[in-house]
Amino acid sequence: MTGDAADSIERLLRDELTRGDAVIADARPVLRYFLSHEGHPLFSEAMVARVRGMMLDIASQLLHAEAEGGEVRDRAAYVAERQEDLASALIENGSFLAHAQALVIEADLAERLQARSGIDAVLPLLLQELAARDDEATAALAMALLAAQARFMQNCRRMELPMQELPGDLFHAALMALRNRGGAGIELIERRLRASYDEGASRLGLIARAITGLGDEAPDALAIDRAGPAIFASALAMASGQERSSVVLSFAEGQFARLLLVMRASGLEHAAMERQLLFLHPDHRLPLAFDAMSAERARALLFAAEAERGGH
Amino acid sequence: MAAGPPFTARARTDARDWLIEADEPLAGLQLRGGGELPGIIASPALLELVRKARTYGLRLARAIRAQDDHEQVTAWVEVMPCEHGDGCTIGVSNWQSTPLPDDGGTEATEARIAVARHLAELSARLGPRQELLAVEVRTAELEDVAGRMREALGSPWTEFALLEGNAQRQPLHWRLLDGARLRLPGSERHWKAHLVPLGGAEPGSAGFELYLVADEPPVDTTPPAEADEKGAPGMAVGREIAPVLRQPIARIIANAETIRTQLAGPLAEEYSHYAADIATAGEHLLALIDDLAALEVVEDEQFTTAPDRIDLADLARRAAGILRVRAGERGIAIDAPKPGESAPAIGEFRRVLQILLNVLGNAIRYSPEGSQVWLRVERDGARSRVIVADQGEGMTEDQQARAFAKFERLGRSDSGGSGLGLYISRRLARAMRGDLTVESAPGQGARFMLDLPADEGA
Repeated sequence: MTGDAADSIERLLRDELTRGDAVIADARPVLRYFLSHEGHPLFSEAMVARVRGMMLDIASQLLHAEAEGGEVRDRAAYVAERQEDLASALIENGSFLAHAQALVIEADLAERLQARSGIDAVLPLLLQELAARDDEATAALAMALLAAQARFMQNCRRMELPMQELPGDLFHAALMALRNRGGAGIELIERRLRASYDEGASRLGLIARAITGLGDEAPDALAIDRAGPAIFASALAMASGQERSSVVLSFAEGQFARLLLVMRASGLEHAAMERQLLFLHPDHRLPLAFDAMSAERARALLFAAEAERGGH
Repeated sequence: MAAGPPFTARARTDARDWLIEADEPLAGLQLRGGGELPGIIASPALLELVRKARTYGLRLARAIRAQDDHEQVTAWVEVMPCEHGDGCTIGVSNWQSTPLPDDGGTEATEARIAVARHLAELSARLGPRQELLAVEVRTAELEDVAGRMREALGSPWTEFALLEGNAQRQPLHWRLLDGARLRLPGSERHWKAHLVPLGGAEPGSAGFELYLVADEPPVDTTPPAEADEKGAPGMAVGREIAPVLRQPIARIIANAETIRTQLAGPLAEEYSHYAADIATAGEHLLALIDDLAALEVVEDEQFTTAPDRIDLADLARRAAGILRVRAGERGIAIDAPKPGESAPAIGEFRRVLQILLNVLGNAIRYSPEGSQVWLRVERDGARSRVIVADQGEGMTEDQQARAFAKFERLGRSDSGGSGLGLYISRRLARAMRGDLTVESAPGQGARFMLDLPADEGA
């Protein structure tokens, strides 16, 4: 063996070691985080598994569409081979992750409220009333929403996230992730997928539409026992000007301050807020000093916190 | 699947996201929001939605909130991109408008402005035509563009920014620019403009405050320390220390504000007051750093000023305009030179404005509430002069002699200043071949006089 060859092997080994060290160094804080937050619902194994499941599901839908367009014979194998990579690309996108996480928290809360307080996860009181209206358009909207809500609960249990249910920005991001893989004939497939999309027909679209049409009953949407967590979250987001996913996140443990601010920014008064807390955090009390906080101030604080995080 | 909602209004946009045609009530909202028909969509939320639908080629549908002078609107909006990507059709339903709560609206605006002021990395004072009057930056990244802005005071600020999705360069209506996204030369980041109109009856008639806030936090670009032969030892506040100090102090202020506003939790009132003191002290420290940096500049032997052809009367009016609000807070009236009066002189525009702001600022700070401050111009042969006269306590001979010394505060212990302002101002005046002097007697108020070479050609 010449000296040069020995050198180059050494260099190779050194590089490998350095790379290995970096992986260990990266992994350690993550591991420590998981260990020290064991049992925390935001980092529970169920949460991680379900978010991951949803990402894999979207990747699989994208790849199926691609395989269909590309006339691949063994579609299952085609998808299975590429699914993990594409899912990883989606996970890289923070908004995707936040959306999936929020859906899991929302579904979780819906199940818990149904068990604990008898709030129907699929057909809450407000939706029952809308469905019973004489006005045909409203009744039809309520029925469509009922179906969408039932599908959503089922999807979450199966760790599925149909692409048609994504908000427009994420639908676009998903297609971009697919395009970046550079598959054959991707343009045609993309055009077909884009044409099939209708944000207004998605569950979140239907909820938002229903809320804008409430009129006199608008305050009902801001009562979780009447509206159920899904409509409640959308109504809070619309009234406070916050992203829906960050509103849903505020329902989670350890996000009490955010929840209070979101509720106040939505214009809820003391008594109304206490009532929501009864369902969301039966063990927490509303701090008295909070009454001095105006809706505008609460909104400004949320906005400032968002800007500190670096916006979206 | 639910049948689509019955639309109450329809509209059409083109490839530039201009509203080409629109039914009421959408058309009315567009016009009241400061837009035109046809013209670029005036409501920021609607514009964003339409732009996304067009560029993504997706059928989007969302609840939109929009606001004009007197009402808040919520509506369900569906946007369908046309097949060839050259515009969209808009369908609107569930239109609900509520009058803006008077106090709530103001408070919301104030809060938004406060946040923008807090986070802005570039702030500027604009005249009524959105022309630049003064520019301040907090990031090294923007020094370049700020420098160019300062050299072109009087031009519209929009000439220095690239408005996203808008090819027009001339200043748009301020409502269209408020909240606009833009890029700045020399910066990789995305910026958002906030415009605060000044002037009571007609917003913007007395000019604007402009704040540029970045979407992303600043990149840490602390320049590598360079050996600099020119700088004497111990003389590197502006170049080396100031940028490093600014960030931690800004953080102290931000945290103190968080505590003061009890964001982190309820707090005994006295602690909230302590936090307010910390914030005030921090603000003072920041101002002091700015002064020290300025001091270093004027004491540099290489310091020169540009021989602009300026009008002292015009500058006095600008200075009065900039400080009128602060004066108003103390009930002090500023009597500036009348339009039409002029006193042509040779000096650097922004340096003269800096001197006037300093002297006028002092007059406002130390005059009794409800008093008056006069700004007068004179021309005497080869000299032009601007006088700032107040009704304050006045100064003894001894105090007058000391007033221009470094770190001299004449026995004042409030947190108002560093004691460097007059020293720097006189240095600046002398660098422009002029002088800054004072005449006063106890109980008689003070007259500060800035003399500069007259512009003989004017």
